Amino acid sequence: MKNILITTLILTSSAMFSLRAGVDDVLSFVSEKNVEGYLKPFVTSLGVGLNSGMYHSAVVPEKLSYGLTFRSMLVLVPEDQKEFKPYTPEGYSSESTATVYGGDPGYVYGDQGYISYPGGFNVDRIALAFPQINLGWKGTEFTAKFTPVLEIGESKEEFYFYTFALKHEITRYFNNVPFNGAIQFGFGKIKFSDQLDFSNMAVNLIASKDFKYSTLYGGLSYQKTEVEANYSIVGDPENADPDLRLPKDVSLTIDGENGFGITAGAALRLGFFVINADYTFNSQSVITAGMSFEF
Amino acid sequence: MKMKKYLFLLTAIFSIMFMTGCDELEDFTVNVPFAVAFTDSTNSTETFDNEVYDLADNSVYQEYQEKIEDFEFLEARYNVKETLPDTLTGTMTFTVNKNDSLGEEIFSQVFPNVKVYKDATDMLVLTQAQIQMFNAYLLNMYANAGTTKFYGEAVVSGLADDGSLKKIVVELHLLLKAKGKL
Repeated sequence: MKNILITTLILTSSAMFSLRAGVDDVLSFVSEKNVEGYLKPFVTSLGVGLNSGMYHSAVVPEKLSYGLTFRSMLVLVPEDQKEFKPYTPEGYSSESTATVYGGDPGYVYGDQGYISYPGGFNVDRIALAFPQINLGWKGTEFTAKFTPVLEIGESKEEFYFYTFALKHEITRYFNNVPFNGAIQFGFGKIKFSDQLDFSNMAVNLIASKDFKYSTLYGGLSYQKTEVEANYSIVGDPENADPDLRLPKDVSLTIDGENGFGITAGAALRLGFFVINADYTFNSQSVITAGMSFEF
Repeated sequence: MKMKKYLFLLTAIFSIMFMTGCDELEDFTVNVPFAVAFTDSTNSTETFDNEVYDLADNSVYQEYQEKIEDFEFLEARYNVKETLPDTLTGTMTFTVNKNDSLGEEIFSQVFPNVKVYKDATDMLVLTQAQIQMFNAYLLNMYANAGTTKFYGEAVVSGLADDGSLKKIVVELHLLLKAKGKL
């Protein structure tokens, strides 16, 4: 089982590790005033990605139930999150430049010379895929997605993530409700690198309707994602940006643009085997597909 | 055991299918700005200064040096930092050579009969041939087949022949674009 977990992580996270290496390289040239605008879409992505695929039904059986799911999330990055207006010192005009998902780096010219901003990685979509386990009993279900702690790169920086959620079926207390309803609370964390530490909180209101072999489901979610960013500016006395001339340790919290999201999806049940797909509309929308073994 | 194999296979197929069409996150682009200051004073009609700039001293270049695969010239401007008296009139000429004063000329740009005063600035407009030569020189650096040094000259000629002291401090700002893989 451990091999399956690790294989899944490696197969699906190479892009994530590439981005991780890139972001780590870039941050040492980003001023404290601009790092929020540069990284915010990435914080949003990890929030919507972690919270997606947390359910494919509001139903939680009375008897003991358990399952294993392989979830894949495709986060779609909108065009307006590929640019931001950076802070510029006096004497410079502020023109849009790339966020971490944008393209070529922007630059402005003033009396101190060229100020250049970091470029993005030309990202239209981010794929995340992780295994997930479920354990339910008496209307309450515990869900967990996690990876073992991995040491990555020459610096052996730790990478791990986990998301835990508790779902409780509310409609079990009411009669004659034509659908099933549940509420779910989730908490997640990604130790992305020594520089970036993400945490995510989500509340989901879920409704579903079972048919013979299928389930239609939907939900309203509220998410809050933030990253603790800790990095060091290299310091270049010749830099035109006064905020980048001296070596400096930067430490700040960046909030994602997550907020409210709406999910709609369908599941097909073939005995203990379930496949599902859904779409979540949020500031970054997410397509989720899942393959579950439920007992 | 058989179940584990199925799970492994399904996971792999499912993951690869989902990853198909996902973005490559390996390419990066970074701008490398640098500036060279020229200072001279004269009682005659011409100021002249020359400097050698080594890109290897640039912190951005140092950070990405190993990963850069393509390098190109993006833009260049001059910016006058100081003059004596407050305004001068003359012909400004900026020349950049490969490596040192004996190196091949990459470009020479003349601004005839311009007013020279603090904060005066203008863009250097290079020809396509000059840009190509600049880019080829930069690419040689990447291939470790060449030097990382530039030689620059700034001349202001045709100044008033009145015997007074004239001083000019002018910076040449250049911006390069580097592309590479993480």
